[in-house]
Amino acid sequence: MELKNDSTTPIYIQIAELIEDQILEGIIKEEEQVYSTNELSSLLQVNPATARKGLNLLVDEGILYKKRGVGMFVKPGATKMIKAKRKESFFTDYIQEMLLEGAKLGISKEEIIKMIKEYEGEMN
Amino acid sequence: MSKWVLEGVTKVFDKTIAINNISLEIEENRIYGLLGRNGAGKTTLLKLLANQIQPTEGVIRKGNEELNNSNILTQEVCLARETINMLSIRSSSVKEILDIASRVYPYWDDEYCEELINRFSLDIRQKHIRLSRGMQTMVGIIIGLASRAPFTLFDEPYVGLDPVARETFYESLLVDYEENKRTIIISSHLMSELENLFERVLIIDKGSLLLNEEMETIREKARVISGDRERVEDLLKDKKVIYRQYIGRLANYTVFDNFTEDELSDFKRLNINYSPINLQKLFVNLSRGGNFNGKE
Repeated sequence: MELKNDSTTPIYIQIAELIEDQILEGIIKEEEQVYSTNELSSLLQVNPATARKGLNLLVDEGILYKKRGVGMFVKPGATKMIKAKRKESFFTDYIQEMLLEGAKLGISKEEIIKMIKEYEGEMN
Repeated sequence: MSKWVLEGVTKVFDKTIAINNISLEIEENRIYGLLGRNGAGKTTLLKLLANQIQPTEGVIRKGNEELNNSNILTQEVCLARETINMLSIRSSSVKEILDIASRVYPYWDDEYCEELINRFSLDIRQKHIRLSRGMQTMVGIIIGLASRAPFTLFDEPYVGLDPVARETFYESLLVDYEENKRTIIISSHLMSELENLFERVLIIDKGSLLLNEEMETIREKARVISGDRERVEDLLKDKKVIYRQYIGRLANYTVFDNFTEDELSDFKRLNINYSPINLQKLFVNLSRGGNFNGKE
């Protein structure tokens, strides 16, 4: 788990995304407990207020839920929710960026589509 | 417990102005970064806050109480430094120094102190004067943390420390801060590894306060924008530019401002690079630019 200090994404959002990644990758499963503010803060060496903000963001989005006096847990259905959310930003984050870079280099949309179709590398 | 308020504080040593008309508030239970170059006035400001020295002009208040010579606020405030000035103490063993500290600070935690000594693998039988610089820094850190003082000030708590000991310090600080909330100020010019610890940042230069801002806002607003000189100049004419650099036709501007989605798409369209800069770079360019208007 690493944070990027040179990114425009605020640290608390990066923390939320790191946890989402771990849920997507099955490192933390649904109904399982996630890190405490304390654990996140010392693991990532960030101010506890920032760590708490990241966790609360996921609570607000319905990905985590609080159990009073115990901690925070992954909500059932969280994986599905994260995937749906990420699909929405997939277009702007990847497709649009790719087309812009292509335009800069004089690669047409058709050429890009051809490249994708012919790509035989690994996909997981 | 209450916040600190500085009003027009100036400190003059002989004829040198160490602190020049600083007004600011320090809120409770937050972690502040105090940044500045060597000789910028960091230690002087910390000593003023700790009531170890008094301002030449202006007032410092804690809550409704004005700091002056006679207050015994020292118990509430712990200024952790690697240097120990008093000769009589310097030749004492680390154990003796920690014993003294444990009697000075009312919230001192002996058990926690033991834990920290083990964590830093410090030999407390050694005389302080014989310790390496890094180990002297560790003694300061241990006193600062174990004092559990409601106001704990760390003056460059990394001098001579290796990376392992520095990480040990950051981790210990964060865990203990979460469990025992207090106001913490860390003075530093090593920023890359500290910036995520800070909630708020104060930057001083030549005794003046250049910036007093939330870390989150800094991450949001501090940017470097580069591209064709004329275009950059035109697009940034209403923005807060803090440093300008030119290499041929290329302009490299350090800005501290917000940008709208429209402005960002203009940048993209006009091949203007817009990227975040870290605290260290902002600090360097702010100190070079000298002020917020970017006039050199």
